[in-house]
Amino acid sequence: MTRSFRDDFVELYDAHFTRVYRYMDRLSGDPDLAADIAQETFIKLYQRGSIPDTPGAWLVTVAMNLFRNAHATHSRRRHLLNVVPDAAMFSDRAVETTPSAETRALQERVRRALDRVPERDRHLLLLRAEGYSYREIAAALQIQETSVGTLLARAKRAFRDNYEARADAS
Amino acid sequence: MHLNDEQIQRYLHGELSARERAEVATHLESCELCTGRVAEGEREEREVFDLLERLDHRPPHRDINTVMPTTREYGRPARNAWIRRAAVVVLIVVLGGAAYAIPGSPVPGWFKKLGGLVGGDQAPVEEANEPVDTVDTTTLVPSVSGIAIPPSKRFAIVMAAPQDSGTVYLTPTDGFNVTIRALGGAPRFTLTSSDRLDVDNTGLNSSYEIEVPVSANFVELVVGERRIILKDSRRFGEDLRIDEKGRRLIPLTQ
Repeated sequence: MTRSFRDDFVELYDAHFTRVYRYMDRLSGDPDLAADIAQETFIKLYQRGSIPDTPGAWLVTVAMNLFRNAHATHSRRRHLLNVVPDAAMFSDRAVETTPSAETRALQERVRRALDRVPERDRHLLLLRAEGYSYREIAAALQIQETSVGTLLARAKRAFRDNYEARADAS
Repeated sequence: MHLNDEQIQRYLHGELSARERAEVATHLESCELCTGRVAEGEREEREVFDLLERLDHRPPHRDINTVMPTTREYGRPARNAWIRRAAVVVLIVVLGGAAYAIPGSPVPGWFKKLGGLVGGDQAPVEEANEPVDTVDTTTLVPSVSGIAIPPSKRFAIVMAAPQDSGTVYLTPTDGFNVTIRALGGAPRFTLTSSDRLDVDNTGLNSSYEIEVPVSANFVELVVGERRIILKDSRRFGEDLRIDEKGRRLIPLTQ
């Protein structure tokens, strides 16, 4: 039986929406912006009318471009989505609505460590943390697939060094 | 020879081929240094990903209906909307002109009739010049030079026979209709059911422009005994030759 575009789209939405959202949330630190970008990314996929060959990489590339545009223009469309908690989708460590001072300090430290990692390595780290394959990462970041592992090792090291340097400084 | 970073990361992430994985495993059995580096790599990754989780906010409620059914409602107002409207007007004028000019077109007859009504000329217009008014257009589309139809889930354009010459020029469109235009000649289009358009091209050697929406599920062209898939859920005009204008070419010859 021939699967329709709609069937494929629904399947992709279920499999990838949260990944795209979380990637954007970690990258931007702005959950509203991340939700907007994730939604816009899937609108673009729907408008495209066909499924790309490597859907994961396609979605990430579109989300990255939208993020760059949003960053450049500061034009953010907010509150398109109702930010209603969905318990089944929470990460174990998902930030509470009113984090303690200690949690906030830790978040701040992680954020600074991540921001000090070079941009490409930051994307690499966040994409791998979301479980994207080396092929998808290479396609999205336009790097050689054969060097993803080496760059990833370097990115993790840089992030950990930044994080520990902050600890030494404090 | 010890393992490098690339090999260690790929080993950790299951990105090695079966042969490479077996080689690395064999090496690890006899190399304490590399075994330690793999363990350290694993620990480091756990630590880093654990820290990244601290940045997470609660994901929004997912509702596919905010994305799928009426995407235009959620999009920003179209940029340069006036340019698009002007383009549509120009397109209508151009298509109207073409419909008037093509041999066999009923449009000149309509104009004649309209002119007669406005000008008070009550001379009867020959029935043959106004077939659209005299037939049930849901089942029979008379001899016009083009037609636009929203495709059903599976839609077939069936041409009666191969021709001595002539080509179909296939292009994708963002619109919602399958559009077929005969370039010269006046084939007869008959919409025999919601999923089949018959094109009576007997004795003609016309070429055709066919536009198929990228959102169409399945559209095929049948020429005599030949079936050509124009669009299915994933592919558009696969294996067809493409001309310099980006159109897929389908020869209508045997």
